[in-house]
Amino acid sequence: MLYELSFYQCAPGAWSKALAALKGLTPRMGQHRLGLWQPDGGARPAHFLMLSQWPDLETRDRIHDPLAADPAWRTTSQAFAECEHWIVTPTRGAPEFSGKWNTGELFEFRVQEVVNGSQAAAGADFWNIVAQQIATAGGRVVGQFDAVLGPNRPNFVTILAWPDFQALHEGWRAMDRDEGVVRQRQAEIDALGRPYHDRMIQYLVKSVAP
Amino acid sequence: MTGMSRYYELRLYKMLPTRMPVFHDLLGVQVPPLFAKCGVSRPLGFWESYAGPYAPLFGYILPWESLDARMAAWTRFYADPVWQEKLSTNYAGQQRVDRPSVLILRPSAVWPRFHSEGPVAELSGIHEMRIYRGRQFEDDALLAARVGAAQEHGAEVLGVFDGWIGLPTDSRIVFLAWPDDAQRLATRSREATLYPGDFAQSHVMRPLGYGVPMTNFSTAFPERAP
Repeated sequence: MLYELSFYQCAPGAWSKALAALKGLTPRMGQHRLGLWQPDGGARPAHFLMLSQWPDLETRDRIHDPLAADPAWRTTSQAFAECEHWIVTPTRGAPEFSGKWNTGELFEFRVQEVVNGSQAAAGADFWNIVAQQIATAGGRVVGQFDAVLGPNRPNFVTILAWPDFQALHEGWRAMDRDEGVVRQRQAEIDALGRPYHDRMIQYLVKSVAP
Repeated sequence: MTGMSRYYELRLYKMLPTRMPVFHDLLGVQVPPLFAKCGVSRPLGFWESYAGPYAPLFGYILPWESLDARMAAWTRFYADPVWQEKLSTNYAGQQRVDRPSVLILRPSAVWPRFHSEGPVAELSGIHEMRIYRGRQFEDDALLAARVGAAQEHGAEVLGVFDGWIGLPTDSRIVFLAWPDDAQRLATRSREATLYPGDFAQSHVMRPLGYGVPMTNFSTAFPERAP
């Protein structure tokens, strides 16, 4: 199964029209759309994030091709200043992404650069160390993906669920002070000049449509 | 126009400083037989660039009829024991590529207007990859006017593409072959005056001897010495 992460940025003043346009895609997207979120924060401007799943890319383009050619959509899509799509695949060890979310939790999207050539080591590091710490802090990993088609690779897209903001803050704060984590990061910096997981675009997100 | 593929994969590698020379041996000599073995399409052109936002840049472009075939071929390639061995040589304390971008393009409706009907030949000189951004360039007539102006001023149009996956979908990517950089620069200066509202990211590139693109990004490759 392949997944698609889409970033949408609205034209000025067109947020409501853009949301209506994305909700209007529901009949076309059907079961392929796993979620649509309004992100808060993030170094990369985005007004909406969408995650879709596809059995293959031919199926994806059987939906995208007519959409791109549809004059009505071309008009509606004027509500967007920018759209960008990445194809992502689950990392080794990632849970199956179900899309069945507990809406009472706080969700965090982390789009994080991984040092090129270190994907396997970075993945092992995440599941052996980072994910354990997240669980200790009360969070859980909903999904993790490697962007296989996209810019500025490699990037891991990690989706986390936290009970609340306090748990998120304390979880990451504790990670910065954990002796084992500190030792591991120092070893990475000594070997590569930087940690495996490098610059990050982080969003806290709110679901706006199923 | 015939000969266009459904998809084009543009791979742009932002290199670590000083790593370019050894990378040529890897991509120019060692990897092509492995591509053929694993079903990865033969690249239509290779470039290096020291002038542009990703510099130092190593880039190449490959045609595909099916993205699923593309995914399967690259999976075979990455799993191949020969590549695994080269990869460990590549990265064991010798990291060469800093950030690779893997982008999928579709041929633009505008491209056939600029198709060269002359004989197919290698296009050397200075190549320019322009990435036009902005909703105004969704207007084919506007984009065609810009490409046409470059052509009138001496550029040969290699290809015109639309962004599909991995870059904003309003991106229009134009590959031009100039006789030399003086002519390219003179045209850019003229364009800056004529179209002050345009934004086009410009990458100035040299085609590499082992993969000089052919007219119209043709797959009619000449026989090259191994």
